[in-house]
Formats: sequence, C-alpha cells, structure tokens
Amino acid sequence: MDDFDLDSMEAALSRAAERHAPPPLDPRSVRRRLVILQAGPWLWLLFVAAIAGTAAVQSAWWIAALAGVVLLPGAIAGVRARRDELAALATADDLAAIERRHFTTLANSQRSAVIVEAAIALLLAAIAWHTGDSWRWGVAAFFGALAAGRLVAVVPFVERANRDSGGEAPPRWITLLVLFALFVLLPFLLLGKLVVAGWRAVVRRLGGRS
Amino acid sequence: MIDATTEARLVAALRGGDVQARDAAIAELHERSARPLFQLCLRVACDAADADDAVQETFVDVLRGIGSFRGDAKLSTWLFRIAIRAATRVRNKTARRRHDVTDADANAVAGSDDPVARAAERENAQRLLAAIDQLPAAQRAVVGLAAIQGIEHAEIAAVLGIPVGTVGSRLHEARDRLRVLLAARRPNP
Repeated sequence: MDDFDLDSMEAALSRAAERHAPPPLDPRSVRRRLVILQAGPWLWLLFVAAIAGTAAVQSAWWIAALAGVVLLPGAIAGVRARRDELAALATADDLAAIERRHFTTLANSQRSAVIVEAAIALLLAAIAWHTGDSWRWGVAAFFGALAAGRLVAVVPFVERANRDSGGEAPPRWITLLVLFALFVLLPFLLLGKLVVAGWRAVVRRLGGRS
Repeated sequence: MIDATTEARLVAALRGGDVQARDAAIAELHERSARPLFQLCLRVACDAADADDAVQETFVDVLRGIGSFRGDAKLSTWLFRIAIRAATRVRNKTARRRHDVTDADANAVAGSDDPVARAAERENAQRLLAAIDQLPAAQRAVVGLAAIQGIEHAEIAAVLGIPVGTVGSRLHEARDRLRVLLAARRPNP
C-alpha cells in the first residue's frame, strides 16, 4: 500500500464524513439529559439511604444492614476514587491509560471468574452425585451455565476491548488454572480436611463423655 | 473554527443564567463545530452512528463542564478533548462496530453523477475506517484530530497534552501501522 493510496483513502473518508448531515441538536433534550445525569447520583444515594433505613427499622433485615456496613464504605470509596481519577484527567493520554488499566483488570477478572464458576459447578455436581439429590444437579447446572455464558458472551468482548485499548494480555488459561489449583483449591481442600477431622474429634469426645 | 470574540460571547452565554441565551449558544456552537467534531469522533469511535451519538454527548458534557472551563486553552481545544472522551465512551459501549462511514452515504451514492466511483470511494473509506479501528486509542485520537481541516500540530498537541514534536512522530507511526493493516486487508483482485 503506497503513500498515495493512503492519502486518497483518507481524503475519501473525509469527503464521506463531510457529506454526512449531523443530526440536529435540540437544546431542550440536552437540558433534559443534563438534569437526568445530575439527578442520577442523588437518586442512587436515596436508594442506598432507603435500603439502609429499612434495614435499620426492620430487625429481620439486620443481615442487610451488616452487609451494608461492611460493603458500602468500600463501594462508596471506590466510586469517589473513580470520580476523582476521571476529574483529574488532563489529557486524552491519561484517559487512554485509564482505559487500558480498566480493561486489563477486567480481562483478568473475567477469566478468573470463569474458572471459579466452573470449579463451583464441578464441586456441586460432585456433591449432587454423592448425595443423589436431584435438585442439587440444578444448582450445579446453573453455575455451569453461568461459566459457559461468561466464557462465550463476556470474555471475548472484554478481551477484544483490552486488545483495542492496548492493554496487557491476560495470563494464559493454563497459568490461571495452576494458580487456582495452588492457591485456592489446595488450601480449600486442606482446610476442609482439617474441619472434618476436627469435627470428628469433637463428636468422638462428646460421644465418649455421654 | 471559532474566533476569540465569538468564543468569549458563547462561553459567557453558556455560563449565564438565561436559559434562552444558553440554548441559543449551544445551538450556535453545534452549528459551528458539529462537522469537525464528527470527523474526529468518526475516527475514534469508528462508526457513523456512534460518532453521531458521541457528538451529541459532547454537547451535554460541554454544558456539564462549562463551569470548570478556565479559558486557559481555546474553546475548540477543550471541545476536542471532550469529544475524544465522549467518542471513547460510546465506542466502549458498542460490542461490534459496523465501520459505516455515514448513514447519508447511500443517498449520496444514489444522487451522484458517477455512482460507481462513489461506491468505490465509500468502500475505500470503510476499509480505512476498519483499519483505524485496529489502532491503539492514542493513535486513533491523533489521526482523528489531524483529519480536521485547518487544525495545526500545536493545537493537536494542546488537545492531547503532548509535545508538538510527538504529534508528528505519533501520526507517522499511525500512518505506518495503517499501511501495514491496509496491505493485510487488501481485497482480492
């Protein structure tokens, strides 16, 4: 492809864009949209306040209140940090860097989520097979579908966006599997074995006393 | 694009409390800048419909942020910055881009005295847009800004917050990459 071709293609693109009639701007609709955008965060705060209020009033909601106390400060801090980060943007390069970081994190977390969901599905399927309860197969199938859906519909989209924004490629599946086996599955199995052994010891001791 | 006197008048009206004056100012700003903004957004979002959305979003963001516009940069510089963010935002929401050059293009081809030439031109434009879509965000932005008629490297540098010399080298890198991408996508004869 020589220089002349690229120049003429650029000219063709510019001419095509020049022919395009931009849709008219309705200042009233812009104002409406602005009001919605400005009202959004307040509506969200109102919603959170309503949840917290309900949780405080109805004692049956104490779990929701506890979850709120534990989770909300982190979530609010995260939203504030994100807002500050965006407000501090000075250049398009800053935005590109944020975009890159965002998609790299997302690509990593989506691959990990597939592995975790597939592992949960397998674990639940093993439990269902062991106990013979048919309803447990449904739960296992739900997690299996979740993992498959994420793998087919979410992961390719996120990874394409990551490549697009020039983000770092996520770790390979095999690397993630090894890390998962070493740092999640193995400790989980060891802990499980420890809990079962402990429980049996307690039952034996109590049985001996009575 | 906008001279200093008009810029001061528009900024004052946009900041003022008079709703009618503000509506008139935003409409005038749209009329003056929609076309260059579309050229920019088309190359950042890589689709005409998305570029239209991005241009509209730009004006919403202008009204949102006019209070923070300090006047250190030209109004057009600030507008281009906002447009790049808006187009990037719109682009990220779209899962699959069609690389349509413009919705009105079909009519333009139909009304042309040489429909074959116009169709070929449209195909070329779409091929280039598909190649631009493969560029990293920073290169798409510089290619988009460079396509605006009458813009100088100094203003591109001000929009992107990079040295003037870097504009040339980044544009050069982008064009080299585009040549490679277009050569790889060359249609079979």
